[in-house]
Amino acid sequence: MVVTNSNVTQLLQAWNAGDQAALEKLLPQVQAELHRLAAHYMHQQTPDHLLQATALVNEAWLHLIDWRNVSWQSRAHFFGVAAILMRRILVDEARKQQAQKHGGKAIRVTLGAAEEMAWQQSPELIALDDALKTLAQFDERRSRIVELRFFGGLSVEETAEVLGVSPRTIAREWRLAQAWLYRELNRK
Amino acid sequence: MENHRWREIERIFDEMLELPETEQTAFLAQACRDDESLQREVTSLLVAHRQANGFLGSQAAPISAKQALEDSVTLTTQRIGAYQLLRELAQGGMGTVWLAERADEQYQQQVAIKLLKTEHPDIAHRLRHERQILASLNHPNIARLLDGGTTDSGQPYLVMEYIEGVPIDVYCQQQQLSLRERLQLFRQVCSAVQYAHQHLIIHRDLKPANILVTADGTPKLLDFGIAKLLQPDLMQSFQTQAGQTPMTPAYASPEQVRNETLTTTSDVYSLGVVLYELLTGRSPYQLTTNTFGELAKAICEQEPTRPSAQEGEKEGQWERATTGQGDPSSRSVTPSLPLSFSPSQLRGDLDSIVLMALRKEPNERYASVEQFSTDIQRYLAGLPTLARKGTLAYRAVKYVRRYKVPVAAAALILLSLVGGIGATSRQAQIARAEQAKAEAQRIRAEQALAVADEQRRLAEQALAEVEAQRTRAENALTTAEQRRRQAEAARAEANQQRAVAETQRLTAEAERNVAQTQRQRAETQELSNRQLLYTSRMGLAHQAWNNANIERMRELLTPYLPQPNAPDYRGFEWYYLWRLSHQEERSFALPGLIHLTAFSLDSTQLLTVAAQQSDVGPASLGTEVVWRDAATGEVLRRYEYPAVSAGITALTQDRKVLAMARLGDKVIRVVSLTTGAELYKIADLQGGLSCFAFTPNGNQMIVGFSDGSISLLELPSGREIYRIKKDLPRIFTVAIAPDGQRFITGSADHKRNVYLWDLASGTELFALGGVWAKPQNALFSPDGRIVVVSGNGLTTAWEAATGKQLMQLENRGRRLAFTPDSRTLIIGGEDAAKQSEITFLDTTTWKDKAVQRGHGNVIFALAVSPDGQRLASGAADHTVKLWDLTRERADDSLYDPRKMRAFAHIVLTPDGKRLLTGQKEQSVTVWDMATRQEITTLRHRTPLPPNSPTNFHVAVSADSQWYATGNAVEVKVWEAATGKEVFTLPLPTPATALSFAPDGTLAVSIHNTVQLWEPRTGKARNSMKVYFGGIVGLRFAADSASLYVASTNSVVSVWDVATGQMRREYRCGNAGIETFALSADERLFATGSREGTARLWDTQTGRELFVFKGHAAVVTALAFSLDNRRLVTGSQDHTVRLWDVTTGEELLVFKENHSWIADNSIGFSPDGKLLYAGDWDRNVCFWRAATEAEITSR
Repeated sequence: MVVTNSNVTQLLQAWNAGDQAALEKLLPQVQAELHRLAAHYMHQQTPDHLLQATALVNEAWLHLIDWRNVSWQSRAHFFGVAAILMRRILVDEARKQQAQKHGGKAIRVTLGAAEEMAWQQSPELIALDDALKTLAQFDERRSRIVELRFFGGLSVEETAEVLGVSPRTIAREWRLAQAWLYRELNRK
Repeated sequence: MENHRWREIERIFDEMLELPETEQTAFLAQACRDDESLQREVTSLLVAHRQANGFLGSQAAPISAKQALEDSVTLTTQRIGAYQLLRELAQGGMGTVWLAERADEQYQQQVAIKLLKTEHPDIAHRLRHERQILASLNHPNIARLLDGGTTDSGQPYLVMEYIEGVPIDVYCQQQQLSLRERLQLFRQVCSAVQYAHQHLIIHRDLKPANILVTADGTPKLLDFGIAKLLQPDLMQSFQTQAGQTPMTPAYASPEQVRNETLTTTSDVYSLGVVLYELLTGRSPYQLTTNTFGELAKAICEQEPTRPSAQEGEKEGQWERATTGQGDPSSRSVTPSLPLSFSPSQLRGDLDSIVLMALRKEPNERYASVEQFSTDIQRYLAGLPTLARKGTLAYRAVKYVRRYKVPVAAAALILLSLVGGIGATSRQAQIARAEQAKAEAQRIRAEQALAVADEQRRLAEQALAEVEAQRTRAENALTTAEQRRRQAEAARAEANQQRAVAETQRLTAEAERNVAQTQRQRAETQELSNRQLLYTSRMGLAHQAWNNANIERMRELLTPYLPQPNAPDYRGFEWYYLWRLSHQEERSFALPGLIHLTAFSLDSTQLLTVAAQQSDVGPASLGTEVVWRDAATGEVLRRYEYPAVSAGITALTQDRKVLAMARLGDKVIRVVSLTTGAELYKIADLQGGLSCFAFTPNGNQMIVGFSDGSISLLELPSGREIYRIKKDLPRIFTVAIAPDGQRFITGSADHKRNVYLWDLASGTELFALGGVWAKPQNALFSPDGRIVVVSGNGLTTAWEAATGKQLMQLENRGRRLAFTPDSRTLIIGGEDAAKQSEITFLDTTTWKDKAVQRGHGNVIFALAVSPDGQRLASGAADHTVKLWDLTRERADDSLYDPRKMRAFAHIVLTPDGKRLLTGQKEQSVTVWDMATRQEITTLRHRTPLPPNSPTNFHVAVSADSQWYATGNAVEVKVWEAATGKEVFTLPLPTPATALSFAPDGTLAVSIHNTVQLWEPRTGKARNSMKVYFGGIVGLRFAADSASLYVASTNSVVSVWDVATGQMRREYRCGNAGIETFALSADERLFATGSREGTARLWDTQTGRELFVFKGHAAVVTALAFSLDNRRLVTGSQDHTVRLWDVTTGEELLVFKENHSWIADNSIGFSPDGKLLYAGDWDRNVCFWRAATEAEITSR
């Protein structure tokens, strides 16, 4: 299949409408774009690797979706749906990296040196993912807010759009979610 | 974690963060009581919160991720190619310049690297091409281009020889070069430019900043040909960035400004400007401002002042960077240099040389830089110059050119008169003369014939002779005939000449018509200039409002009151600003400094207590007490107390008794406000009087002293019941609760300086926090619930029962008042800039409700009438103003305090009576516009499938009788009067827009299909498939017969409602459409785009009329004013903007909204006087314009 903006858009629309098969087709396309972009980030040596990895995925989305065919009302929703996908891709990738590291032998180089740099903070990503799962057990919405804002790169207003509450509510709920996650991740 | 425990943590955590940090610990201990583990939990989260600042959250929106990618090189990369960046040298319009060194070689070479800021798509290709040519330039006075390429992120860069030097003009100044030295230095520059020209390279950007002179006096030219690389971006950047960077094309040639093809003579021109400045220290053009437009006009039209006519500057301002290779565009261009020689030396040849280089027409200048340089050499050698010779001829030609059109027209007219008509008459004369001659001959011939006949009859013998004679006569006849033909031909020729003359006259007339058209165009231009002037004045008036300068506002607005025979420029903005500048109901002057204002209990009379005069020292002032009619301002009674100073005042609740004292004194005088007589005085009070207040029954008084003590006095005896001595600093203010049980004091202290006391016992109840140098005013709300203290620009409110802080406001507050219902707190401002502002705060939400401006100085007194109708304010501007409190309520913004909501779509009903707010929780609330109270909330109860959009659309029928609401799964129609659901229409995919036709037909769009429904019954009618992507807007024409449909893919289409056929299609660029509006007269429509622009289109021609640029994010809402002359736009950048549809200019920017303007949530009331905009944060703002009646009544 030729990767075009419009068919990613369609697949995402289909997945949103409940077509699970669409996700399977979507993943490889997003990953391909991801690897292509990773090279661009080679020179970025900011200390915050977590952000770097997510920025990468966001960038991938920007390239993949034909925004002109999506009205702005639906746009935040697209990112909302995409956030779930991004989290899954990022965490999968991070776990793969970890497994390779611990497995020792695996010189199955799927990623270039540059891309490896982007993933070198995999443990933190995995820890964040685990903490988010715990948070979701007793506060589903806060977990979702973090997913949307962090993995989806949504602004407060966009997050509000997806969850159907006011921006003020998001800003308020974000504080506790942020504090709780910070504490969880710094506990070790 | 258990759910209820988490909720408990959440509640405490959230509440705690609302409190000032100093109070958090106390609150936590109280909230957790003995639950230690809960307290630990919340404490650890609070600590995490403080440390987590920015954790996860600084994740930027995806758009900025892209931006970050583009900026990444300049931000983080330390190396470019083989070069190590050392430090940034300069930054400007063209990009950033870095000092770098080549790190991979034996020797260390310092270079300058220029990172170019350009959007040119094929820059990399062009760069490669140009680099080869530029690298071939090898001249001692030209900085070498060493290398170039694009960084990994695609940003182009150039590596150049690093020159340590100063700009040529600075160099001349620093070295105090003589005239001769300057000219010689300049000739070296010319030789470098000439060298480049021989290599077919034009510099295009010559200016002092690009000509550096090294320490040994060698000039070096930078950036050869770089400007061309950036073309055509260069001119655009002149135009678009003029406001942001001080980049002015001061050295650009007229043809460059006009964006025409450039030749080497363009560089001659720029060199001319450089020389001009080196010789005079000034710019060749006299400019009043430094805008691009004015400069461009000057470059193309203004004759430069002769260099010798420029006065030499003695001591110039000199603020330039003096070393290094900065970005040329970042320098300022109005130098005024001190010179080491007199301007009179320039008179003659040098004037001519410089002006010749600066001629507007490229082919009038020196043909080459060499010629220019040689002419300077001739001057230096004392030889006659080319320029001087050329000057006279040049002037003569110029004269003719300047008068070209009139001269030509006059010549034509002359030609037609003298040549044409003159020739005509002469030819006709000849023709006539010849005709007369022929006629005479014919007559003669006839006579001869008659003679012949007679002779034949008389003498037959002479027949032969007669025959001969006849032949002769016939011959003569033939000749006559020939002559006549000739004459006729001559007449025809004359006619033809007349026709030529006629044509010439027509041509002359056509010329005259052209001249007339030009005059008309000039008139149109003037009109549009006037319109622009109006636009800028409205902007200034708005600014004046923001600076609380009401007088300036009125000055700006008054000239636009309608004048006979003059166009009326006014639109919504003028009426809006006019109303803002005329907020007060009445104003009267009060010569003395005001101490107190109050209303009588029945609200009909206004009391003022003021110093008798304003210009004498305060200690010696007497006091004047005046009762006025509150409605008319007429003085009813006046009492004067020449010997009493009223620095401190207090009033009994029944308004019958007034107490006055001088600050720091020992005596309180108590007077009757009904008779003016002194009732009694309390003398010999120790501690220095500072403030006092009557108890509600008037039998006692609390007094605060300078020594920090507080006492309760019995009245009228003055007996001290108790005195509190708690080692407090000076007590500045005191207030007693309405029930008389408690009182509050404020003192000058830097810790806890506000205390709440039990009145009867004098025991302390609470100490309240706050930092004031001087708390000036304390006040209980009429219901006793709230206590407020303000002073020195800080206002704090507490709950009176618990001492819990409710709100704190910075930069505001000196005088306070409450409305009788305690719902509004009124603060007279004390902010340096806005000291004369009166702010209204809602006492439940603590949000701003309104602001009134009109005073010119600090407000000293505020009072609300007991009926709540009026506010009286007295200020240091020596005026007392009365404000109608009922009027402003109509402008209050509407705020829905319910937390779990976000507004999705806000609509004002066509009758203007109700406001509908569609919420993302899938309901619509109907509000009464008069009271701002909720009438009802209508809900959709069908659950939404997971992950479906929460968009919610609202529409109201033209008669305001029916509402329609639509979400992801259904559309519902409601009866407005009863709030009853009429019917529900299930939808296969989410609704994207709803609209009622004037005849009641309902249109609903789902994705790219429009479905029409029968009004009332809900019976489906036809549907239309729109093949242009998702639909975002639907608008019916006034006759209900056609429907405008706006689609995301930049297409607006018009459909025949009856047949379902498309009538017309408008292709609206390629920026996409997010929102759409149609003007009431259907002559215009507007589209809003994702990139933040709005565009205006003509429905007749389909042409784009204007692009409105200003919003920084998606334009989400648009509306036309009722007169179709204004467009209002709302955006995700939280602002609302008003535009002039006739000029395309921005008139006003409203920043009152708190969040994204909701989709399509902007509009005007039916009378066109109220503008509303609703945002996501449960907030609807209103802006009201003055009515004609309001304006004429002033």
